[in-house]
Amino acid sequence: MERLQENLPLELVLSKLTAGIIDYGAGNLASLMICLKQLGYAVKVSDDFNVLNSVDIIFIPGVGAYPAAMKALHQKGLVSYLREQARLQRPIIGICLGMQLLASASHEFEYTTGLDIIPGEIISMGPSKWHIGWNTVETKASEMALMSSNGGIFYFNHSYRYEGPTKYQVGLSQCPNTIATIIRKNKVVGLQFHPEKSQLAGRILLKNLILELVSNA
Amino acid sequence: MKYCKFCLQPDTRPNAFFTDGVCPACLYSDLLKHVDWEERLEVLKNIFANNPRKKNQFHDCIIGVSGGKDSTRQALFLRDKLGVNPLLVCLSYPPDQVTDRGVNNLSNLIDLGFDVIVSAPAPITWRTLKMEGFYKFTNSFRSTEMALFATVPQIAIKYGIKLILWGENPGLQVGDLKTLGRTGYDGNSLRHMNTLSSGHDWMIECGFRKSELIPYSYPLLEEFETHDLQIVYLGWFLGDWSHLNNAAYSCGYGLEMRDYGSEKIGDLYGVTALDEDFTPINQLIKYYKFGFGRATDYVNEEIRIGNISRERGVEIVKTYDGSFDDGYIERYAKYLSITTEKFWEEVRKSVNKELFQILPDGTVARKFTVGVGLE
Repeated sequence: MERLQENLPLELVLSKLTAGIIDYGAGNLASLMICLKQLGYAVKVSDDFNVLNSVDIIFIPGVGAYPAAMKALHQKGLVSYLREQARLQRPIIGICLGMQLLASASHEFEYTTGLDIIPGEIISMGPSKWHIGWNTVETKASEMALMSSNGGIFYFNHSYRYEGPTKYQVGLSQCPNTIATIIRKNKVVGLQFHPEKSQLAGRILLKNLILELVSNA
Repeated sequence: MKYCKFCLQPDTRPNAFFTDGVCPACLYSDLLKHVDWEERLEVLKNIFANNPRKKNQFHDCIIGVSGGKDSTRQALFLRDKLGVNPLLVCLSYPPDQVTDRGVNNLSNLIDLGFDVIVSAPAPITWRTLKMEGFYKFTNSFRSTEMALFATVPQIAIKYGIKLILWGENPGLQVGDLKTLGRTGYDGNSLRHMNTLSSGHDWMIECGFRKSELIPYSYPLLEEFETHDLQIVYLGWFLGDWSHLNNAAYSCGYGLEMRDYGSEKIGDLYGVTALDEDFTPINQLIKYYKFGFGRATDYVNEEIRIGNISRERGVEIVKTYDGSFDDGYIERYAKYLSITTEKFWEEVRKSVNKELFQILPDGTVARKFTVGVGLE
């Protein structure tokens, strides 16, 4: 039960939108599906381009290792598809490993090239080694959709992080050094944390972010 | 309301029953003068010898830690003096409650080389439960203390570790008699303590699902028996166990203390509840309900040890119990999503009207005389 939810108008225009979750055999999609459905979306899980072409926003989920995830995306032809969709300015949100896949490359296990949609590389967390649990995120003032999520508490579980140009870093966390936990280029956004596992704070962020990404096409 | 003859324990403390005008903690403290500490150490060593770790296990026992003075001392004592490998289990406060100091102190334990498991309950459920607890009992800690105590046996069951160590025996060292076990160190009766015995039916009544309340559910007696869990109070084995000694010991190993004046919050040495700043408010409310606060607890310990006289204790308690800082209250009210006016309105409702009177300007004034009681 989350009492605070009662104050929020979560329905509105949302019910007409469809969210597509990329199915590339990685990770647990159930919590993301449930979360998006609670927000009022229709949800389609697919690796079929025709289905993914029909949705309003594409989610790249991800739990697991970088090299295996990229391999799966390559095998399904999703790498070139996603790059094309980003060029076409379609809204895409990557979550956790899905965010990291958006970057140019990763050093996890072995050097692996990524989707290269947002310039930057994925490197080890360094001395702190991992980042598991609840932490706050400070969002950049220019990101209007993220404004009400500034200072929000989200659930993290990762041991690699994004390193890249500051202009793509729109959300930061302390761990204890500052790390980028939300990255963005045009209509493609990467979330290092799991909004779908972050209670109300996660749903508020998703709601505002999705509305912004799909509205000013 | 009556006070203990020797210290400043009032008989208004829940579950405390006096004998010939003396509180249980003083009676116990008197017994301590004749204790053979070497013998107790042998008892402790035997406990570990009789509960060897299972095959393929790395840890001999679990300690519930916050990272504060008691947990740091316990962890170091077990590892460095007894040569056992404890698994430290911490229930962490969510980011909007935990202090940087608390985070640093837990990191300090990891830096000292200990294995630490952190249980991190969902922040909104946590906060909503605190709000409900405040409205229902004027005690937002009802739920969080449940979680604090429940996490440790939960992890013990998960990891197949039988021995659980807590620090203070609330029955002996504070006087909550319901928690007394078969021996001075047996903690399996902890489930009868005031907070834990209240259960979590009230949370269910508030509309929470059982699945949301897992971190707040103390394992059942049957589960304790199935997994052969044994809670042991380490404080019983340490002759110099006290707030101050534990703090002094732990500060040498990197414990970070409060660095501002105790007068604001009645924490005389700045060494308690380091990991968050709402406890002082709860101590204030406890004072309004039962007539004793944090300063009384400090002072009683010092009187029993013989560091200060009862007269000096009266002075200290008069000055510091019931003291508070507006800044703390503002932050607490903000966390509970209420105004400070609403906070005070609720607190005044819970004030024990036999012990206190509420003056026309809203301040709470005690009717009793510290050290004497109610006339």
